Amino acid sequence: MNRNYLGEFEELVLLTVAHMHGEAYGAAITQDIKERTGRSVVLSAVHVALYRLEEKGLVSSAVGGATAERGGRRKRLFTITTYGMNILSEIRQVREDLWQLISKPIQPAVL
Amino acid sequence: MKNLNHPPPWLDKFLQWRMPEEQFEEVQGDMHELYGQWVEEMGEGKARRRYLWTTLTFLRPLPKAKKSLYPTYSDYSQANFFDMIRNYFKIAYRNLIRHKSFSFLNILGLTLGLTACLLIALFVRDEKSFDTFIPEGDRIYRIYLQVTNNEGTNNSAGTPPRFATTLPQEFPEVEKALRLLKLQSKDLFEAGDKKIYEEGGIAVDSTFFDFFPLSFAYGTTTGIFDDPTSIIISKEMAERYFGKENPIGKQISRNKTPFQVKGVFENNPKFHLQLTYILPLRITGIPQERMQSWGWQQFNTYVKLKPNATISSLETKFQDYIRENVHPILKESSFTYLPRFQPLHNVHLYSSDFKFDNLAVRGNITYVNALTIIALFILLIACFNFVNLATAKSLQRAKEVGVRKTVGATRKQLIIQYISETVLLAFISMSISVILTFLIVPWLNRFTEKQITFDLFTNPLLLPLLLILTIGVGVLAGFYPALVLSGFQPVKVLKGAGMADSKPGQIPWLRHSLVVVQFSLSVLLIVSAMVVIRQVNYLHNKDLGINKEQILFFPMRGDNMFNNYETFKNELLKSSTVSSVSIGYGFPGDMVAGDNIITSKEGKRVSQRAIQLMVDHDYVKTLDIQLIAGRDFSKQMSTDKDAAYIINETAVRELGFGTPDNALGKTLWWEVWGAENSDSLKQGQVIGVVKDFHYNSLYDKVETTVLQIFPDAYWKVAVKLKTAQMATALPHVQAVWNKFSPDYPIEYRFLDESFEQMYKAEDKLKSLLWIFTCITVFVACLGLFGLAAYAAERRKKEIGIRKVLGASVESLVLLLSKEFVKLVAVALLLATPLAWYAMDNWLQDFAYRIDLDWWIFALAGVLALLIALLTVSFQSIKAALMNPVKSLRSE
Repeated sequence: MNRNYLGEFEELVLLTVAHMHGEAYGAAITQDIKERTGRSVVLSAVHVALYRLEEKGLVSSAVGGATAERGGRRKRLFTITTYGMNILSEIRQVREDLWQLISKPIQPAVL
Repeated sequence: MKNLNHPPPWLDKFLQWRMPEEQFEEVQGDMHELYGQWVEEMGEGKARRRYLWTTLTFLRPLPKAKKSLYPTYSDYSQANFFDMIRNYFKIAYRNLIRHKSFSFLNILGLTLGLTACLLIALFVRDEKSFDTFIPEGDRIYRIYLQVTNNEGTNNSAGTPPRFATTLPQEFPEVEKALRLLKLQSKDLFEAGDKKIYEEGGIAVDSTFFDFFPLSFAYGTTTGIFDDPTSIIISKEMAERYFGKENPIGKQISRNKTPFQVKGVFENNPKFHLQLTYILPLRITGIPQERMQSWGWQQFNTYVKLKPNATISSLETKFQDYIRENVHPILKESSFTYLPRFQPLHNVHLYSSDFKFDNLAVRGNITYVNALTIIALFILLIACFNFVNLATAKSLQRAKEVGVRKTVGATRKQLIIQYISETVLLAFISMSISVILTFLIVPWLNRFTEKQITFDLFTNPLLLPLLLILTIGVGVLAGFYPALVLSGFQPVKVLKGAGMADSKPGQIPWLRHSLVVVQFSLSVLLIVSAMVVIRQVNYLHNKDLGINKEQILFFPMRGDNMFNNYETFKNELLKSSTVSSVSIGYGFPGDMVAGDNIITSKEGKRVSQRAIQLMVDHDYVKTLDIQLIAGRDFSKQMSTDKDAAYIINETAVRELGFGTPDNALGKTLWWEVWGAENSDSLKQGQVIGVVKDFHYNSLYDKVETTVLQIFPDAYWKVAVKLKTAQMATALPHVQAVWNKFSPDYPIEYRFLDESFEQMYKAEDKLKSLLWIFTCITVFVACLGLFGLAAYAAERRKKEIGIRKVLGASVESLVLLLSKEFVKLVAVALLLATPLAWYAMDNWLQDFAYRIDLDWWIFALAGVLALLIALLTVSFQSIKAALMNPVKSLRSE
């Protein structure tokens, strides 16, 4: 398996974790993705993605404090690891390269 | 965020049950937080629904939370569980390979048991599925009669024609009724150049297809009953005359009367009626007043009830009706009857003792049940076997158990391990059985004349059922050995001391009783097989009082032949290959007519039941019947033709004549058949008495029988051939036939064949019992073999010491075998009364039967003992011959 491989949703979650700077946990990520992309995300999907990312070593987690609206439950806060950062930039690099190739005015297909 | 609404707590409970503790905390926190936001966004109702949905999505497994540095206990148990299962199978496989002969015996036993079971199950399923395809079949009933006459009460499927007209009129519960009349004789059908005699034709009421919607290959049922020249034929029959083409509208003649084919139906093998052709009832031309008869019982009557009607009340009401209206009419006749209703689904299996039911395909519930029991027995024996063999083998695996336990295996794990081993074995056996069954089913079909399919892949229920059966057998067989094995004390077995039941004086009762049960069943089956084989041989070989060899038998056809039967007979006699010819009605192995004979008792005329054989002057001579008093019919005596009777021994007794000589000259009267005047009586003297001879199968007693000359009923011809001249005789008979009836083909058979035909079912039972007895005995021997091996193994040291001290090999063999002889003896004691009871019951069906001699049981016992000794001695001799150094060296 290519270690760099990330699913589209996983990538989205990983990016979200990265920009939230240590404040990322299940519910917050769910809300954030919903606000940004408008797509309705199921919590369990986010959790699955987070754990899988952790398994791959792209994020690390620590158990954080509890708040009232959580019914006194603690949250697990996720932060992106250096390895995770590297992967993200690698993916970005690939995309950039590809965009470079088509940055010449896009020719619409002639019917 | 100020909203502290609480989501439904039961969903939280549900989540908590689903998830590991660690994950639950954070997930629930997230959920609660989101819930608060949802309530604000979309209100409580929607939020609740969303919450429920989110909870449900957590049903999928979450990946593991981050691995902590040190594995926890649960990590171990999870990882080990699957590894262990793999390990179990690996060990099981190695054991299989290592003890090849033992595995072979085990698998062989189980495979035999399972195959027998599968085949029997297929057969039983087929028998029980008769008529289930008929829609609303649960509302259809067949009427049968309990007929009482001076010989007792019998069930009869023949009913009067009046039932079907009366029932729908008088009883509102009955929706419709149906009459079936079997067309008795074989009829000549002609189409194109094809001339074939067909039987299995019926004449029916127009409601037939409302009751039994058969599927049609060609044509439909519409209008069939309006046109008296229409006929519906079966697909098989259509192919005989018209090949593969569509026969609709084609001409076919029945006994020279033309008919038009209006439909071709397909016989359903699961239908209790297998038909060749169907005609409307009115084609038979039975006069109206005859159809009003309450006494003429030749029809099969079916009724269909209205949806809510109950059969029991209808039965009572109808019986009352018959008592009130019909019994007075029947007063004059020698019988009376009561109607009974039989559900359509019972017709096939529950009519085996019915008289006049030769139209239906009949099974026998007793045989079906007996087979089911045998199948279960064989399977049980095979499982027992496994228990015995596996327990015997357990000693060799004691060390393995010891090591496993020391390393930390729990008892539950060990039990699971050993059971999974037997389940594996059961799977192997089942796979082989399934393949075997596929191979044997065609043979089974030929044997049973059925069309059974082993629809393993098309029937969605069968595969799971077999899986459950396999696992069930595996668990059943493996449970006890697993219990024994897992109970070993590690310290003892590892020290080499403790064996499972080495406590002195303790009897391994379970294994012993298993062997007793196995051998009881074996003895039971051996006795049954011996009795059945002897009875069947008796049926075939009993002296019937006639000489049935080399008699050619055929019905006459065509007016020319009937009118000139004397000339026909003389022509036949012209050849030197023919020794004598008799023409008449009522030959052995064929139909005979039941009727009455009138005697005079104390001046009064008394009518009594008697079989009437319509014969000619050569009947007694042709069949080689022995005269014990008086004389045969003679052409020289002109009165013999119109005023003479010959009776049999039973008649002498039943008619009260005392001795045969005393009977001579007595006067008898007989109501002449078909006479214009119903009072026309034929008066005659008894001129001779013959020894009792059999004209029916040995199920039936020889009845009062009267022989007389009555040319109006002449129909069948029996030609006695001279020995060893068949090849020239047949063309001669054929040539004479063609001279008289060139339009009809001759259809002959040999008289002894018809007797063989009668016992087909018994012949089959005989071969079946043979097979099952062999299987059972064999499988039981496997078990005994295992037990002997176990005993020899256990007493290895004892034998060693005995040998060192000077015991002879013979005495050791005796020592080791004694125990098992005892077991077999107990089994014999148990089985004998059971076998006696079962076989006595079976034999009651036959009017003529063998005696249940004590020596049959003795022989079966000796046989069982011998087989057991042979099996055991193999092991005990091996043990006794062993070098004592080997067994005593290591301590």
